[in-house]
Amino acid sequence: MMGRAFAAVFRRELRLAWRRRGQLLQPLVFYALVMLLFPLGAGADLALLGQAAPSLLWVAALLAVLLAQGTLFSADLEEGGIELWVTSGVSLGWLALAKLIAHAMIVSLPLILVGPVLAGWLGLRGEALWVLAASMALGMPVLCWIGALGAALTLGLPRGGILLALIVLPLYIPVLMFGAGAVHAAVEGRPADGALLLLAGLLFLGVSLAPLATAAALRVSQE
Amino acid sequence: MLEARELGCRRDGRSLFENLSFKVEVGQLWLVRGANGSGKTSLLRILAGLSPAEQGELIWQGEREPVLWVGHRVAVSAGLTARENLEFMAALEGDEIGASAAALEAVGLGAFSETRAGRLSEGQARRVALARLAFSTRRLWLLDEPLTSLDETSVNWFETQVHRQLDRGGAVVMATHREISDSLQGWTLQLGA
Amino acid sequence: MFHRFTALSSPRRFYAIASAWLPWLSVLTALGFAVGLYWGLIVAPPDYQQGEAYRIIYVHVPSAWLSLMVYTVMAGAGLVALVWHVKLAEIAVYECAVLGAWFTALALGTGMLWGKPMWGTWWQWGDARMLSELILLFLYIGVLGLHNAFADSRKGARVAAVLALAGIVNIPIIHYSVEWWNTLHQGATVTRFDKPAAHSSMLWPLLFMGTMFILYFSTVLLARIRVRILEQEADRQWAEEVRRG
Repeated sequence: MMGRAFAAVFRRELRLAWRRRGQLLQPLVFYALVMLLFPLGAGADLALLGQAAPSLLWVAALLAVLLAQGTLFSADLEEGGIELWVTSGVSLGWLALAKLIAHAMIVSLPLILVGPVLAGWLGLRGEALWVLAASMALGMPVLCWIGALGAALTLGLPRGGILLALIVLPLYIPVLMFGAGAVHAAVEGRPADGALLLLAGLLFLGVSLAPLATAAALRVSQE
Repeated sequence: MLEARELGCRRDGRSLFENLSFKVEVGQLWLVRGANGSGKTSLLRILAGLSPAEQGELIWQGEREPVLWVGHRVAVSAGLTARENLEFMAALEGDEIGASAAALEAVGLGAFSETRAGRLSEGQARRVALARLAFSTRRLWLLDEPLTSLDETSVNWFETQVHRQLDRGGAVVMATHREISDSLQGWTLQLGA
Repeated sequence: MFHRFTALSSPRRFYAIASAWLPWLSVLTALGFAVGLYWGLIVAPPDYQQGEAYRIIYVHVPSAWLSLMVYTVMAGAGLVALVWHVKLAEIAVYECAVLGAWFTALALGTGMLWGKPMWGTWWQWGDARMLSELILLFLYIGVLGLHNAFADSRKGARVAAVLALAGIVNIPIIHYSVEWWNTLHQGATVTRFDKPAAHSSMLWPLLFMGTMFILYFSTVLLARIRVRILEQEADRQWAEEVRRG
């Protein structure tokens, strides 16, 4: 029964995402736009740009993920879906895990694919591109899950957007540091595997704790 | 089946109800009645385990079991078709998915089974959620104003399902404004008296 | 077990106990601070490198300790609030967040004051502890903002409790990541005072001040919870009686 419920939630999320796939492109366009803004703002100083590129790529991706969070549970709240989850008798953390994994795939995958392209555009070459892709593959899901927790916490608040950013951004710091750190290392020809391993650690921590915290927040939202 | 002992509920520093005690037994229908804002929904949500019982307690006879909850918001997702919605509910509640098509026929939505729920009327969406009464195996049904925006045929179908549930050893607690047919009179819980 | 627990945490009982203890605690705290400040600012010897300027540690270091300790207390109260729905714990979450934010701000402010003569700059990016402290301040602000966003303060407290618990898991990670980032970019971290230099004649007043800060925190927390109880229970009969005196 638990497996069936998990699969049902997972399939439902992918199906809903596919039906509004146009919206999935928005974070990508945002990502590209921000990456265009930085050079325009900084002037065409290529050396400076190359130095800052790893941080810029990561900060912009982080903001793109953040923007994709706000409405994560709002339809579930308005339609009563969360009530269905809570009363279903299946562990809420388990259902949240299904939703979070689907959500991480839906939001992260496009960004992970586009990241290296934008990096090439900014002048990153060779191994740095692979390290960027790897660091994003490990880090973006964690950002999604922290953001999902923020979305669950601010659920039902009329102007939750800025508050969401306020509570989520401090928690994003370790991921940003390890992620951008890995790419910096690769650009400077140092080994990046230390930072990538740390990101992998965060990924495991995230997948085990985020569903529990999100479930707790969803339960409180119903009280 | 389920006993409520001295339940109390406060909202915004105001007491909605206090010292509410009753016992829902197998085969019983309970009607929760009262004016708007008298706490009908709050009571049902406490029974469903959605809200904590801040005063008093709920005692299950035997092990605590999951209930069937159809709230004011019926948990029908606008982006899924009527059939997909019903199948999702069945999967989550551990019921037979195969029974969905027949259940939709029974509530008169056979022709709409592949229609996105966002295009259904409010009454139709409610019927999608209620269609699972046809196959739900849960022993306790908690329904919050299930008859809102239902037509006469659907109300008749609904009453048949309640009869069936009571006959097979289940129980139903529902809040409603509407008068229901004489064949369905049960215990009444008047709030805000 | 649960029943006894809720009985002990009854707001009314708590109000009575807090009212009885507060005068004593207040006097003790005031005396303790007088002794601790005199000890730290006048009796303790000057530092052989930093002269008199180092004496700010008697406020700075206890504030930094408390900023972390209060977060732990807040998360603990949050756990109790979430699991047992204890009203007192809900109130404690919010009041801890307020006090914790102040301790954090004090630690940051005194750190900057100290940094100016020591490093010649108010803000030193190379210092991992300052950076962690700043992030901690943001975590507190998040808890406060989230709590205040809800019209129903009980619900706000429980939502804030979830965030506090998420934060307590993150604090060590954040601290580690900041240190990691630091060693990467700045080389060796700037250490403020070498370990052997912390002579026991300086250490004892520091530990004493730390204890006094804990006492101060407990006193103010108790007083604040007491006021908040009266606010939340305003429509109860006993609160009415208290108000009339």
